[in-house]
Amino acid sequence: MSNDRRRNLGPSSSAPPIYQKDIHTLESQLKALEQKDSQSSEPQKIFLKTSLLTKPNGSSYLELHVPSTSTPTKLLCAIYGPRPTPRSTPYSPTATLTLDLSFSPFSTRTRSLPHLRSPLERTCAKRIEDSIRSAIRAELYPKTQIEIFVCVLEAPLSGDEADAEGVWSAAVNAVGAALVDAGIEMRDIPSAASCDGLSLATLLATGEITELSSKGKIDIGDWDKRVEECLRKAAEVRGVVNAVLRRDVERRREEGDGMEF
Amino acid sequence: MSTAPPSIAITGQPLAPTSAFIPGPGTYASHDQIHASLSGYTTTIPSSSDSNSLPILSVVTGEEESGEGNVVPGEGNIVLGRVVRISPKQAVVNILVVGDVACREEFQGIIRQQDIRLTQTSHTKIYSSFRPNDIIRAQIISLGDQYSYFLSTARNDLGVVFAMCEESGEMMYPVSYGEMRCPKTGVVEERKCAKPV
Repeated sequence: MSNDRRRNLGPSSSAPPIYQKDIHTLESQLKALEQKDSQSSEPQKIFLKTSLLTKPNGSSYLELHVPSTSTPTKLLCAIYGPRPTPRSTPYSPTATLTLDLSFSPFSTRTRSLPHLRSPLERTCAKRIEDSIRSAIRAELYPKTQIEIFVCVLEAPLSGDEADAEGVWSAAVNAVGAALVDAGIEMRDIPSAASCDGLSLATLLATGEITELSSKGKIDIGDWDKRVEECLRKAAEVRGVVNAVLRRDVERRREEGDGMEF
Repeated sequence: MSTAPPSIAITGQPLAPTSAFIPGPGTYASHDQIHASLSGYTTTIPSSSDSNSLPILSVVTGEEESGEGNVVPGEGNIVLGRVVRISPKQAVVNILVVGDVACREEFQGIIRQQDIRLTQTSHTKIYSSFRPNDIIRAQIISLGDQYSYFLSTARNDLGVVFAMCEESGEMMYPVSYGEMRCPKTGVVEERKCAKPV
């Protein structure tokens, strides 16, 4: 027995832990999850509400629950605009679009401290902006700016990802509904969905895909299948968005008495 | 086959073929189809001029009637504004109302010396036409530059609508195209008045 009281030595007959078996189990578990995902038998659950904020021109709240993930995605979106641009902005014959996305400190598994926009937030914001830009009829609003704020309240992330497919695609749907709520003219409402590492945003009325990103290895044979699956999911979300907006239009008529339509 | 458009329209929804209607506000045309670009109710306005023209199909959200809604100043719009400051060559105006809709945030406009009146434009004195805090009715003649829209009051029905007397603070009433009088003190101040409706 050693007389060294400064160190706590383990028993002399100890052996290092064995991880080999754990790695294999983890891989097979992931494969099982992937197969379950690609079957996509359960539909995603969606809740959408517009006009919940009084100060911005338009707003929306979206909850999206994909069955394979344990955490739903909850987002809040607020739109200011078209409003006059600050004096320093150069003349623009079309509306200037700015989109800011932030993750609340309680949105991911690891609590984050207040910070300036992280690279993940900037990447997500850029993706969302690219997805919706072509939908907005910006030429109708010269010399103005449209400011979009997206606040992610909850997301199925651990907090240190470099990419967040599910978040930006869910946000595109929320932003689309909020833009309609704000009364900003658009060619179509952008819809987006993600499936197995592939996410895309589309304008279903014109059939354009405005943004597409994929992560990880996808066989070329699987590519078409995944794109079709994403388009199908986007159409599902669009169905919900349409129903909510239709209800909003009808409710506005009931609240505005005496308006002849 | 009925070409009657649906009564409720959601953004992006195809409404009617371009052979049946002319796309109006809130709609756009693409590949022979008129699509909605707002969500709301469709309205059709029969063309006023000749029976050969197609009726106009538009989508309204219902907010326009309440005086709210998105409004962006455009060329030709009649606006109401408040004069913010004056200089020898121009008056700076905050645009408050465009058409019938109040702006949520004020846009900035400028009335240049040569756009105040129709006649004798080079002899116009800004101080004799507008004072700070006057409410004026003007027309937008151009989108202008990055700072301001360009406005004009060179019409009989454009010009100062409300002005306060400098001495008493009472609201003055117009007595001629170039003068306003305070009812309390009787003082006459020079303004470029809008013809009362």
